[in-house]
Amino acid sequence: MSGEQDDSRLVARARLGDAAAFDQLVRRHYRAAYAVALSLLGRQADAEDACQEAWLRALERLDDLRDPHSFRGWLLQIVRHGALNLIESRRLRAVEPLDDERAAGVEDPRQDLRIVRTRARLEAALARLEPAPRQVVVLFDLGGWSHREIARQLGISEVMSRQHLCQARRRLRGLLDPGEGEYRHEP
Amino acid sequence: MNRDADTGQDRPLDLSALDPMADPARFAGLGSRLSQAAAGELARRRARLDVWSCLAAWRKPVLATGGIVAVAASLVLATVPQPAGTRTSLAEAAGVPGAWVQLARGSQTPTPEALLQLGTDLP
Repeated sequence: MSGEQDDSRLVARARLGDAAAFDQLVRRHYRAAYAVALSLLGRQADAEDACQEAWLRALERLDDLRDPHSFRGWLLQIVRHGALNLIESRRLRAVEPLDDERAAGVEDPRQDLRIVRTRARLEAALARLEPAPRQVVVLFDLGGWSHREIARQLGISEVMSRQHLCQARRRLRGLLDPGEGEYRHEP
Repeated sequence: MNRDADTGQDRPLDLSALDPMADPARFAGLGSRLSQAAAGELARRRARLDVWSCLAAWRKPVLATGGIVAVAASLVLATVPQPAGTRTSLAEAAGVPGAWVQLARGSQTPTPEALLQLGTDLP
């Protein structure tokens, strides 16, 4: 049985209020939704919040979904719009982002300090990328998407997706380890 | 091979520190938080589940079964020969009075008196 067929059954059950079906949809598509949110927002905590909002909005609007087979694409559009709205509202309010280490550290004080620091460094490096390369590298290296899926999602060509990925990896490596990447001197 | 392959630049980056699913406990916490937030909407949907929504959920199989029965009935009616002299028109089968049928087939516009008369002829 294909994933899409399963999705349509799960959607039908979730529409009737079946919590187990909703949980299963979440487990199946959380990573993709999170990758889209993180690719736009760049911070784990923001992406998780945007994801939660998007899932709740999707549940509320589940009756509007005409074709349950296309649940994933429909959900990702909701995530994308939610994340873009968050960016826009922050821009209008001109909220200063928290310091990287604090932003990562306040989420869960029990977390391993090394992971918290690595996350903070990654978030800071991602924040310095242009939007398009950031989206591509997160969707590819974290979300596990193919270039075809990324191209469709972002409305770019597959060639452009590959170029953005290459550029983003080089830049991130340079930012994370100045001994590598763009700062590396070729012999 | 391009320059990036030579320098190892096209290796995937390890972004697992940003992956909530890489930490099962963290992901379980996120799932739990989401389930709690969704509980109200799911309960509202269950409460809405009345007779009509049950019927709506069954409409596809019911329509499919009805269609199959209709096709089977049509095939039977088309293949079984009718006895001579028992030919029934569609109007008769539908219970329309014969006088009405004759009036409808006629070329003249019925008068109000004729229509009133037909009304009194109803079975």
